[in-house]
Amino acid sequence: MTLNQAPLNEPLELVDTDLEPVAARRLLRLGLRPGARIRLVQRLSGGGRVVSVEGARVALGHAVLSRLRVRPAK
Amino acid sequence: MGEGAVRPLVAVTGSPNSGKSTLFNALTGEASATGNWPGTSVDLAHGVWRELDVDLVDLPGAYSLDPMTPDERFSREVLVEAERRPDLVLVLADAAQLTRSLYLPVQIRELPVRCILVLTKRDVAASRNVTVDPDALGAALGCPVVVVDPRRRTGLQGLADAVRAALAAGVPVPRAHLGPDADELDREDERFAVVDAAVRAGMDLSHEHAADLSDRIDRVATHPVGGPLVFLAVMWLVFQATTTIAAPLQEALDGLVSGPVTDGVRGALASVGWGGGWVEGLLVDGIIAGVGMLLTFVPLMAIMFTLLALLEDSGYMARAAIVTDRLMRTIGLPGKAFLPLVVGFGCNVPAISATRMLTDFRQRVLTALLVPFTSCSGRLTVYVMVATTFFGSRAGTVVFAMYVVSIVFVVVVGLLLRNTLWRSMGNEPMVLDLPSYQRPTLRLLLGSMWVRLSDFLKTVGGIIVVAVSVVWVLQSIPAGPGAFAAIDVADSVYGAAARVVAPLFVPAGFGAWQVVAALAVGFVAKETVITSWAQTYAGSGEGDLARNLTETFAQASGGHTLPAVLAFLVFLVAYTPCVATIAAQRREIGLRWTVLGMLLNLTVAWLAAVAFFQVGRLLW
Repeated sequence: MTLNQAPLNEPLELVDTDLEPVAARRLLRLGLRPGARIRLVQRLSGGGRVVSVEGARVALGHAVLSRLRVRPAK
Repeated sequence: MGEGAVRPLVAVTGSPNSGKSTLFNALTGEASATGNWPGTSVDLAHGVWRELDVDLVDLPGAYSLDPMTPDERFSREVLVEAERRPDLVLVLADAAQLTRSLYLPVQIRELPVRCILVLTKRDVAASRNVTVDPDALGAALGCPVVVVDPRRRTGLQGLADAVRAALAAGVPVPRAHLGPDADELDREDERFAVVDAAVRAGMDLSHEHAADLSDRIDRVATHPVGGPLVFLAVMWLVFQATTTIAAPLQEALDGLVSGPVTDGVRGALASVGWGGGWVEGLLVDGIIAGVGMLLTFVPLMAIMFTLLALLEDSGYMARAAIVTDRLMRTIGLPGKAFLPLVVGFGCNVPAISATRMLTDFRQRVLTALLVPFTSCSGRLTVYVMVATTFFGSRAGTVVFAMYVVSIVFVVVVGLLLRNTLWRSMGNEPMVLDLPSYQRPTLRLLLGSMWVRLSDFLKTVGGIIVVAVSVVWVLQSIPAGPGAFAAIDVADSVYGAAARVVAPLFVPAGFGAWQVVAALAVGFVAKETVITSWAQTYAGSGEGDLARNLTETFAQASGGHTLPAVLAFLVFLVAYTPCVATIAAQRREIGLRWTVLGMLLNLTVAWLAAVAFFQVGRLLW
């Protein structure tokens, strides 16, 4: 599933991203890379979410969320 | 190290929000702008770390040395290309955001330079039940790790000891890494693998809390409904502080300068026989008036800069950016740009300075060009006077309409610029770093305020004083017969110029020199439009300012008085901002953009005024 479809407060694993190189690099820098364990912590207006990644919080717009594929983490 | 010898150079670097500038201030004892927003320390600060007698240089916040942003490019220059390269680099890493903080030190370890990892915000990580083991981290990265809390100034002795030891030892062998011939993506992957290994070795996330205090605050502060309400409340407070709290202070300072100080100087000049002449005029109406105007900005700017530091340092600014992101995106600006525009309705000058928090230069330019279209309180005094004169009981509606017009200008001009000059802007998807909330310390707030305030006075002060003096001189040079500084404004070079320009405003319905001259005086400060009329009509002997003004507008508009007055007010909303705003613009976005902005303001104002009058006179 893509991140915009994922439930809040469940442990997730980032599978891959489908973004332009610049945006993808930006996410990599913030710790959002394949294999990273993440969690959605907050809904934002306009379909955005706050993502918890390794203790840090990043706000992502809907356009980004729909291009990140995740699966439930074990 | 003895006198005359070159001190070792130590650079402080690290990701944005890692506490870099705070550490720098703690070590040097010097103030430097600090704040909880990426890219605060754009200017390079340097000082001496007295305890160790080393030079300390504060690099801009960066996640890497890859030149993706101007700040990262600059860090790279200092570390790799500069003539005097650092002997040691202190890389700050935020324990609460460890993964993203480690790419930079991993990259720096590829350089032949001593490196110490300074671990900050361990308390924030601890509050989330995330623990970091400095020794395991150091072993994985191949450099010493020291735990420091720059905000509370703890761990500084341990840091000093580590720096002393590292400087005494030789330069360590760089980390084995893929060479410059390797593919850039492969090199990045290799670094991320090192980061991952270090994080796994040094950080324990297994007991992380599901939600900490920051998250609980954010449930309200970034909530789809609660977020905008909190944001509006915060903006209301900022607006109140920059208007109602600052206003009495401004008036008191203004009263002091125009009262006792002016009287004192007049008295002193009279006692040495220089009273009443051009010396008094230049000194009192030029220089002292200019300094007085500058002084009245001081409380306003001090309040503004303190609030800005408070919003940045507490972490709220990032939340405000989320709330306004969608709205601002329509005109190609990020959510952060909302604050300068709100502040602009109080005063344009601090609003221009507030654009500094925008890290993207194009966004800073666009915001700084839009700020003059926000209707400042100086303009309000003119609306009120003109509206009560011409519209009686409907004055309130007219004044309100001017604020609506102002907002329309911001949106329309924003869209226009975005779709012409910067077509590619504003399309980047929202990716915003949310630092944890923290309680701001008074020392940080006041330090940050003072650095920005003194910088403002240094760079903008001279321009304001000079401009006010030049306007006085132009108003004192007679265009015809008469002596210097002994004539009415109407007979001065200034008045003559207004007469030349006046016909340009015939299509807008107010092509009278008295009106144009007042607008020109308004260039110094919008409030002075009224005082200018008082001066202009004082000589006519008929006394009543309102009647004279009505007559002027009636004549200039061919009887369509009200449309002409509305056109005048619309022009007043949008035309060239006051000289202090322009000085601030020049400081933030450079002379070229400032001049372009002035032309933009004049063009938009003229076109809108003409449109208002031409449509209006068909109706009235």
